[in-house]
Amino acid sequence: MANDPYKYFRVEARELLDGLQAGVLELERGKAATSTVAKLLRLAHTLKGAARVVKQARIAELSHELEGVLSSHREAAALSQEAAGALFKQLDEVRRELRALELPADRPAEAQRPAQAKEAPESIDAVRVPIDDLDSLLRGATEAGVLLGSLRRDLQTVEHLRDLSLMLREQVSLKRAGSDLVGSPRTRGLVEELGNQLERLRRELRLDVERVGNEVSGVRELTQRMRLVQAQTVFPALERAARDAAEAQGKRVEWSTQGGEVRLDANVLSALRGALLHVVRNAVAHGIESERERTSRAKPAVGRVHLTVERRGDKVRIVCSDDGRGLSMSAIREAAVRKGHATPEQAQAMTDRQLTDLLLAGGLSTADALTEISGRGIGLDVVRDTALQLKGQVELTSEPGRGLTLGLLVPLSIASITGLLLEAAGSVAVVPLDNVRRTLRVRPEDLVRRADSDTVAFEGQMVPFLPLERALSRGPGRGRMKSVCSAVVVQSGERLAAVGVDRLIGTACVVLRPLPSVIAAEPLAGGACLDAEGNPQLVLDPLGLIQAAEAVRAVEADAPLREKLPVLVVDDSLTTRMLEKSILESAGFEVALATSAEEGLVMARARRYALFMVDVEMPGIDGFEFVALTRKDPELSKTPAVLVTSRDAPEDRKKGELAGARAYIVKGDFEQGHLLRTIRSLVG
Amino acid sequence: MSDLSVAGVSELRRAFDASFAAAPASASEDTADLLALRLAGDAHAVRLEELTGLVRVPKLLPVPARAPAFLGLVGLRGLLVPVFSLAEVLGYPAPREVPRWMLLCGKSEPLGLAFDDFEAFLRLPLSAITRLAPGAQRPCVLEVVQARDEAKSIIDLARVLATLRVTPSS
Repeated sequence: MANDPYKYFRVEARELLDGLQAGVLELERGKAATSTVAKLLRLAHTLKGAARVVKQARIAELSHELEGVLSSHREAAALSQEAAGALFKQLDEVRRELRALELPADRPAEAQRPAQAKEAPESIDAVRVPIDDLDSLLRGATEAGVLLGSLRRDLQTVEHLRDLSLMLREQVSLKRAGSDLVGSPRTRGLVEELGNQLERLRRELRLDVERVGNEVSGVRELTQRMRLVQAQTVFPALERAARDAAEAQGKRVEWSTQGGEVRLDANVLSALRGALLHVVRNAVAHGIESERERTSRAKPAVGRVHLTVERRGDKVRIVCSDDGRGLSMSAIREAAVRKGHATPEQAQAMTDRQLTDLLLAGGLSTADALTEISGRGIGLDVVRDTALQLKGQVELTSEPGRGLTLGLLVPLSIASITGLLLEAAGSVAVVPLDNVRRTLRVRPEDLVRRADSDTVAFEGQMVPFLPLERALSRGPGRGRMKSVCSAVVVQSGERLAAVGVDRLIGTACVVLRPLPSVIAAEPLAGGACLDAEGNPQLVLDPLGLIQAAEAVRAVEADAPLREKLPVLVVDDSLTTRMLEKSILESAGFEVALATSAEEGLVMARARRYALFMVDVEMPGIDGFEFVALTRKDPELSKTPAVLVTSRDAPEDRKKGELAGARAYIVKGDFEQGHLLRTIRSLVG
Repeated sequence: MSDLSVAGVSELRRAFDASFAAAPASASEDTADLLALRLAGDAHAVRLEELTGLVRVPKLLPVPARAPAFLGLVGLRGLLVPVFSLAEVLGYPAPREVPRWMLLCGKSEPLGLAFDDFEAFLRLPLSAITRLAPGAQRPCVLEVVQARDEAKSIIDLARVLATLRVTPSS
């Protein structure tokens, strides 16, 4: 910017000229709307203002003339050819002036030769792309990442084949007696060739996958970066606001900026722009004193407004400071008393910080109150609402007589957050890292269990404890905590809750996507993101999570305690029995084991169970028969039965259904989350 | 081959090329393209023109939500797609397992309707479709089609979507 003071002016002026030219063409064709001239007047006015900011008097003058001509056609929906021609000449004149502001490097070669009077073609070095298009590009890159995941799996298969071929080569080369795989020289040659080819394929595939992976990540990163714009994009508008406010009040103001190169999400910047316009305008209008007043206070006659933008991790801090009169603390005290926020004694005892906090909290924030307080309507409502909308913070520091500093700390992007990845009930969920106060190890004895709630001690206070599995309605209720678990202390404002999880995975930067409104998500579901393979993960809303933890009391106080019945697992395979037992127990179920259907029947008749989970293929009575027998028994039929098997044929499913099984789970598709969801839907 | 004259071979070649150049056969005004499926054993069909796709249900993320018949979210070509149980929307009991297939409807905000048994693609004359008498209609079934010796209820997907897109207020 310092090297090229017209860099942004040129971009803006070209856009304005393009808009003016298109509008005049419409008017000439007689196809313009009645609002077209008004729109063109606005464009010409903006061009005039921008030209004045960069001290381009000639362009400002030409724009002023344009305004004059357009004003005379204010009510027209069409222009004569002559009138349009006059406007085009004026626009061309502005373009010529604009071209003179180009740096030599920007200028096309012909334009640098003064002898050539003809118009040089304008270089097109930037295009405008709608954010939706960028999002589509991002989706495409994400999809390419998903396809790459399947290529990586193919690579693993090739690696496995290569390993097998190496083993085969070793076998056919063995000279040892008794090896039935020793091959002829020709066989050994073929096996050798197979191994070589597989190794070559593996190497090439790996290289290609890595290369494509890098390209795809590059496209994703670039697209995400393209969604970010430099903060200085809004500087001209802010400077203009400061200038206009100063001119209107006959003040002199020096405007300066720092950190314009910091990039932030276009949506964030767009939301900030409105708030900052208020801040800057009012800093000049109400903060900066008149020249006479400043001189009488031994201050420089020219007031100063300075805007700083700085990046702080995944946030951006924007500070607007002025050297004006600052806030009148005595006026805030009076307003606090008048509005009933404090007694006169309390107000007197309040520190400056407490008073500005009160202002920011909104208790005194009506326009009237603000005017009464300090004579400055600093647009705090707008600023506070913007910060709230962006999940950011506002800070206000005033030095009476010396100036006011207003700081806004907002995320760089509302689309991208850093999250802590948690695992519960086999699923991964994300909680915004900014809202994580701490992580804890919670032992069963750390929980204070009452009939209505669980709490855990944290930094001297009891905070509600809620297993995430339960919050997501996938858990069996409070259940019995058998071992140490991890918990995340989540904070929103002053409220805290400890959320129990199976595992903490780590942190990651995720692109937050809103949930479809059609699902009417519960408040704790704040959004979703896609993992590297394109599968969705839930992003938790901290406040919703805390509210869910606090709400457990009311729910459980009303719910009668139910008898907890065990699940009976009937399977002749030790491995399957132990696997199912561990899955069920880790989800809070009690489990009883039977090694055969016969044993299962004896156990089933001896006591009640919540569910029978039965293998199909067993020696003696098989699973189908076990289910059919228990369905015929009036007492046992009250307990739902689920078949777990490796047989996936439709006729087997049908057979299970006819026997009376409530669900048919195929071991090949064995997935904990699915198994537990099925069981919970049956057990209730 | 020896029986074919040169002209005969040329004609065959021409016909062969022409078959590739011709636009694929499409439904005429007298026929309807339908997808036959089963819900809880009952025969149903949907009009192909109302679909944007038919896919296997990918990994499903359950999300705490109030919408009835909602099963969860899936990621499809970088988009979040809510998936509902088609059977449940039509008043059948909730499925015990996540259904295997889903119909994709809507382009800008796609939505999945999951079901278990996909039977066939049918191109039938319009005369095979009968509009049900007002008394026999169900909220999302206004017509039946006779195919393969049985009557299949045609699900009006526009009505299904309209029902789902009314977000529950509580």
